[in-house]
Amino acid sequence: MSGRLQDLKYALRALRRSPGFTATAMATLTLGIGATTAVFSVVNGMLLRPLPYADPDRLFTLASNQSLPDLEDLRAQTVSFETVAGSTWQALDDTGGAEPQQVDAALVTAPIFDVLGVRPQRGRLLSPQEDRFGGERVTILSHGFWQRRFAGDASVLGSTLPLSGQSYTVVGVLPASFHFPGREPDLYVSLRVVYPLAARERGVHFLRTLWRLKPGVALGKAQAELDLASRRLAKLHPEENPGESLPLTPLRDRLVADARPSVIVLQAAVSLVLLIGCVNLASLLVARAAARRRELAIRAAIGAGRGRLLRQLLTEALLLGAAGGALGLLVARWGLDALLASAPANLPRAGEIALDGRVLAFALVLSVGTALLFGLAPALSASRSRLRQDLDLGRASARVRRGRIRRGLAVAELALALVLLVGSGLLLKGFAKLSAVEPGFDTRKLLTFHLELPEARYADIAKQTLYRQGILDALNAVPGTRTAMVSELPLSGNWLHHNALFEGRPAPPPGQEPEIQSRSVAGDYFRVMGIPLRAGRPLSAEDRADAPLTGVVNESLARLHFPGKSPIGSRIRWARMEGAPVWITIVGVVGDVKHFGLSEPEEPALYTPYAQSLQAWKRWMDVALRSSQEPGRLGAAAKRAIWSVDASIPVTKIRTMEEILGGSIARQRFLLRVLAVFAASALALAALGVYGVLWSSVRMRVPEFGIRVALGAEPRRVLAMVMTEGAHLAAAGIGVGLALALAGSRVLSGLLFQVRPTDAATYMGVSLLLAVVALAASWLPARRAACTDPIIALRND
Amino acid sequence: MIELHNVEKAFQTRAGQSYVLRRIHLTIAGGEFVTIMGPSGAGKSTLLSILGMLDHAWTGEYRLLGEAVHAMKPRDRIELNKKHMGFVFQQYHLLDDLTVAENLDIPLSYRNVKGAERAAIVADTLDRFQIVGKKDLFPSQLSGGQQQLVGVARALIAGPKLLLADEPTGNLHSDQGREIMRLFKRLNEEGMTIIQVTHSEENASYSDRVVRLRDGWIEDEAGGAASNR
Repeated sequence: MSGRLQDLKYALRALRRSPGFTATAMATLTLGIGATTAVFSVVNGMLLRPLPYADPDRLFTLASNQSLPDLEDLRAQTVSFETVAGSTWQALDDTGGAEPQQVDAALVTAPIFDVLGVRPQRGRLLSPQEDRFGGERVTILSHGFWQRRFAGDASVLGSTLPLSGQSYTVVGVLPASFHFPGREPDLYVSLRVVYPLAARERGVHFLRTLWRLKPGVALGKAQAELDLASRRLAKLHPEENPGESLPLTPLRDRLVADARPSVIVLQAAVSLVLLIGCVNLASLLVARAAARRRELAIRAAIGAGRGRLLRQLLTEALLLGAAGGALGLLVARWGLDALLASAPANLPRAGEIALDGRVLAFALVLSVGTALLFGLAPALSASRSRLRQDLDLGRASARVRRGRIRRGLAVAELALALVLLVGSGLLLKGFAKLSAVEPGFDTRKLLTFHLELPEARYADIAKQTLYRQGILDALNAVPGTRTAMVSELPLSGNWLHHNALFEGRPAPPPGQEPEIQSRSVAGDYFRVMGIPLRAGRPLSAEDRADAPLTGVVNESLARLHFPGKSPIGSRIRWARMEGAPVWITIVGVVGDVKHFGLSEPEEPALYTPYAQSLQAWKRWMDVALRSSQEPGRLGAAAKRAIWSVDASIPVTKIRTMEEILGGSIARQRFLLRVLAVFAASALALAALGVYGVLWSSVRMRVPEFGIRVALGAEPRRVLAMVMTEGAHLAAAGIGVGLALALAGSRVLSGLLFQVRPTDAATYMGVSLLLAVVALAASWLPARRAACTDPIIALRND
Repeated sequence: MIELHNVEKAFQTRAGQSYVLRRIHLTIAGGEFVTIMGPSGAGKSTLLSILGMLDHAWTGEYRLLGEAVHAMKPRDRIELNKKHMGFVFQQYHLLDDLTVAENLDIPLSYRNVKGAERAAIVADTLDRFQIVGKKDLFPSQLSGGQQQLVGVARALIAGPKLLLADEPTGNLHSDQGREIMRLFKRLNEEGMTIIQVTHSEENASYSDRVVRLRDGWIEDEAGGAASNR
């Protein structure tokens, strides 16, 4: 048998004969490698990996949306960009299937595919001839939609798809590897063809834009050009363009901007867990080194050189690392699946997140490196001049030295665990406060769904009003229900604002009028939603199309624009509407709702009746159905009622308000949940560390305890001695941990809601928890010490 | 074979230098069986460790088979040790995780002996020491005497010229002790140079010469410390 094979065989045997050590070390390595790899794969997929487009470093976007005329002017006045494109979203009704379905359509300008550098898997992309006002209706399918809707039919090209009353020809299919930046659409259509009305409007800033720099052009030069063009636009079209700077942002940064702080905190947390795991491993190996030293001394005495000793230990460490790495890989795969399954639905770049080989290698190197560092230490520090001492088992000085190292490591573990616990505690407190925020309406027993009317059949307000009334009547006929509608449902992520003017006040310069949220409602909206009426009256069926225009404002608007007086009777109108001014009389004031999120302040808002709408293009609505029974069960009945009015309108986004509320804090809940798992792991590892240190301390001190008991010490006194040692460790760990947590708490400040990063109660509570856990971990070794039989202890000495 | 000239070993303490060995002059010829005796703390085991090159922190001159050990680097001393010496310990110091056969195999593997050759030498040694039946047992499955027998077999397996034994019978009962001493005598008669440390006058009687140590000094035959001569 060759020397290396022999090393391997003996290493396997050594690990098998120390099952406690092997199991704990393996568990630590597995957890450390697995968790780190899973979380870092998310970080890598979202934040670090280049975007999956050609030359992604040349891709930029703007923080603000643009209108198509502005985009074309900006493009024409700049030379730094290779291609520029815009896109927006629209839900289209696919009525070609068994049930009407809504599809997510990306309304794009043709160069979008060039900007992203994608080639079709089948067929072709949008041609400039098709991307023009009045152009032919064609569509490019995403790979996923092609699979779902057409079962991957190879002959799909040339077939037609009925979308919102119009027929579209399928001309291309994109590859499966292509992910549109941000939300993934089902299909792509020309903006100019599908939505010419809005596409022509300079004031409709609804396009997200993508800018590809020419190779070799400096960002600064492009930015200067763009700013100049923006200022020119502001001069030419002051009403639609305030002339603000248009900072170019790397597309990657924009995509992940919201998620970045959470992901960084997660990465920091998992790094702490890995660090604690490594410290734990180090502690285990230091303990093992005591037994190792004697064995190595024997090997050296019978002729082993230092190289050979190192090789033997290296084999063991690598074996441990390889096994831990293999198991870690399994845990990483499982953990990543679990993470993605429980992640919020809007996690950016989720499609690109995959187990990453480099990440695995990193975690493996770190863990195995720890195993090597501490595993090889006995061989590295072994010198022949100490051989005799090492052969002499149980020398006190070596034990004391190692005991001190292990105590130091246990303190480090406790301190790191405290940092994680403080982070989790602060987030938990913030989350509790966030969850307790009153949304301003009653979220219970409320079912919601989304409807969108096709332009082809519902172009004018009268037809829309007829349909809405029909729906309300049909739904209200369902026993025990009351129904209303709103154009933008609270917490749904949708909003629409306009500039407004108040009667009797000087008009601000164009573009600088106050912005007001515009919400259209139908039915007894405020009562159905449970939004309290503060003054005046609610909107009612009397507020018909032929009646004087009325509106209800929220408290924020009343406070901001009518401080100290009642807004009722005052009049308001939308700025820069074509034709004669149309004034809306304020007839009531309602309470604020948390429209933009529980942690976000409400903005001034005006509710107007759908029936008096001045915007025929606002053909969408969210229906709110309040029921005396469990709302989740009403979906089928509601659909039947809606289709009794028009069977071709898809009913989408059927959700209870509780689900929407839950979804609005999903990111915080997800972060908290993952962090809690990490904190619990850290706490368990730290407790294990304290337990291990005290257990070996007690084992070494058995003769001492034996003598003490023989001399008359009561068991509780011995117990107290060991518990005191545990308490000292806990106190040191908590002290160091508090300092570290205070120093690092700023990282969390952006993620906390109404909790200061230095919240004293959290720090105290967590310290207490850690102290209790550390003392609990000390209990078993202390009991073992208290139960020392002096006769057996002294005989074994 | 061995010449020690003015060998000293000391520790630095708060009170100053504390000597463990002082001005040791000793010559041992090839084929001799020498016993080192003395009370506890006299420096016997330290002297044996220096002779066995387990201890490098000393001063003076040490020649082994004409080679100046004191002038050698540690690595060369290890090579010299591997080439010429075998060590037997009071605590046996067998490797707990290895079987008897594997414990015998290990020193050969450290000397880079090829696998097939090692197997043959191990088989011969097991046979020679009549422990073939025990070859697959672990040390914990053997009696003290059997463990020490394996310890001696392990010390001899690489064919050393010099056997160093530190209280080889210290943990054995008298019958087992005598068995080991008879084995040493037989090995010595076959030409092996043996140096043993012992407290036992009976064990010392198997040797040709007794070197007595007291407080780090070698005593003269009359019992006074050498420095007092």
